[in-house]
Amino acid sequence: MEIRLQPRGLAVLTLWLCLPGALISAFVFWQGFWAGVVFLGLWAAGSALLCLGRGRSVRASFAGGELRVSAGLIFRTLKRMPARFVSGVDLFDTPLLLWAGCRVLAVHSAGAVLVLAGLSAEDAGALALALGGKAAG
Amino acid sequence: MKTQNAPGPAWRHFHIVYSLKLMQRMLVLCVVPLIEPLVHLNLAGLLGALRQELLLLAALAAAAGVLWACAGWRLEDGCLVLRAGVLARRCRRLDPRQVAVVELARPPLLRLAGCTRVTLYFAKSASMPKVSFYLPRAAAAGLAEVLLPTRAGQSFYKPTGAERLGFVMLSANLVTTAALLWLSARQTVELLGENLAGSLNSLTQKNLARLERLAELFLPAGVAWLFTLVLVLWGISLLVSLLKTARFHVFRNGGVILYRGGLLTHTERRVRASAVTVCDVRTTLAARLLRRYPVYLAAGSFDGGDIPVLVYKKGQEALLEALMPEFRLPGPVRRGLYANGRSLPVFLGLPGSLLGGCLVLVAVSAWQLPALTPILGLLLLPALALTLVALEAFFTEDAGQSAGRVLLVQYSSGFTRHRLCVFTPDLALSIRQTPFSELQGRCNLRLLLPFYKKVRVRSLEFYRAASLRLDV
Repeated sequence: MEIRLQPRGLAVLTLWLCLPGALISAFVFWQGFWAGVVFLGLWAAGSALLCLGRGRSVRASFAGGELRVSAGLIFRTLKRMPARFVSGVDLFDTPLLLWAGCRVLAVHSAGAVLVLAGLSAEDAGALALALGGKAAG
Repeated sequence: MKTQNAPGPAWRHFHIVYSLKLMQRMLVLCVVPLIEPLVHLNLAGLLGALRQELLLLAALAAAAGVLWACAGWRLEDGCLVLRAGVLARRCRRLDPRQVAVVELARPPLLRLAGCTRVTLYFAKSASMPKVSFYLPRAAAAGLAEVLLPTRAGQSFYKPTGAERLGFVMLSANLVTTAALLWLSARQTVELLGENLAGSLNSLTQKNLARLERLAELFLPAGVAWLFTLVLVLWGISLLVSLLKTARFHVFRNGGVILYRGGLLTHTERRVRASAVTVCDVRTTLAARLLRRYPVYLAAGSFDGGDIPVLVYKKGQEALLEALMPEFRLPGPVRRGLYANGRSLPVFLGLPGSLLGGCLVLVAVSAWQLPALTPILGLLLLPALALTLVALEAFFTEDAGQSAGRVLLVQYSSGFTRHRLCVFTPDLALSIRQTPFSELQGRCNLRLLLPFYKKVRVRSLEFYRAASLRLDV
């Protein structure tokens, strides 16, 4: 099973990342209208770049009883978690994620939490079932 | 682990100390009536508040008594059931198979009351890593025997003579002692008030000044002060360690490792051998000097505690294998570990900068303030030690699997080199690469062990990290 993040899910993630910027921008708007606009624009561009750049490079696979998630174009990471180590799986959704047909999957273990945000609902369900089933067994 | 109340064996009470501990938590309420009269310096109000205090204390004692009467424990179908609460009751059913470590601690005050503090550390449950309660001495010993039974046998390790001295020195922790002293000094000021604590402080300073004058006979003034401070802290930490490790024995029988000791605080730990996650051989600066290495066992949520389970010297590796038969000491340096592109700046970046900074300070002080040079020169020593340990890590830091697929890891942190034998198959890996390390085919490997313990191995070959087998 190989899974990638969905463009719609990534768009929702970009919006989430823009929220802290919008809150902070109030202080910048206080200094000057155009300073606030520039700050907000830069923050939004940075969020989009991060989400689209890093998010599109995320590849998750579940094979041989092990979940592997690789991500990153410049700073690469590879996370490996055996299903035996998984103690629980959480599926989150919000109205916006539901509209986009996506979910956030959090894989819990006794030593780490692995979050995959922006998976399609089908992929998230299948992965949760695979991990939950293995963990229970 | 939560169940409904069910008929079964009779509930047994915790020791009455349980209620005192509950009262201790509630004592903060007693401060509330005192705040207003103290702020306004109202003596009549203060007397009234003290009367309220008495009533409040009586009410707290009654509440703690009721809570104690309603709390209890029992053994039911081989499981330990703990009950607490009055109206909202909570029952915890604890499976003995999930218990990784049982710790029985008897500090002097608890010993006077005939009480033992029992702490259970669990093997897997991350939501409840440990649980503590107070039992009468005999009941605590009986419970420990039910949860992790041991047969009486010959002691497996009992340090005597020079070995005992080494054990004491390797168990002493200067940093922890300094932190505890600082905390106790703060608490003394809070308890005794500024005046009494101030006079105690001046008494201590006078005695320290005498020692300092003695040190000044053979050391410069500033260095003598630092020397005295370190000597006093080291002396106290050695004394603490001596008390903790008095009559220290290790037994191993069946599947349980038992170690007990302590002069003032009697401590007994029973570790389930099958729940041991990591065996950690630490090479500290003291260990290098004494050429003896302390070994710590981590099991479930228990991280190894403050006392090593044993101290071995070169040639006594069989002792380790007798302790944990699957134990393998990470082997000699692998060929090609540091040859093909291992990054020296990753290891030497921080300690090297520190050493460089200290060298610059020493050079500037020798030029402008020669009086400060000896003190700054002393700073060079730890910086140099850090750099040497980091350099050693460059040549030795590694992760690999033994023939029995036990994970063997060597890494350095600060002044200490750790050699780990990871027994648990329950772990995850996180591998990170920067563009530079990717070019060299290297990565930083992070092992995520149960209970959020993390181990980092730097600049390892990517293919080795990616091919570590987790399906053991």
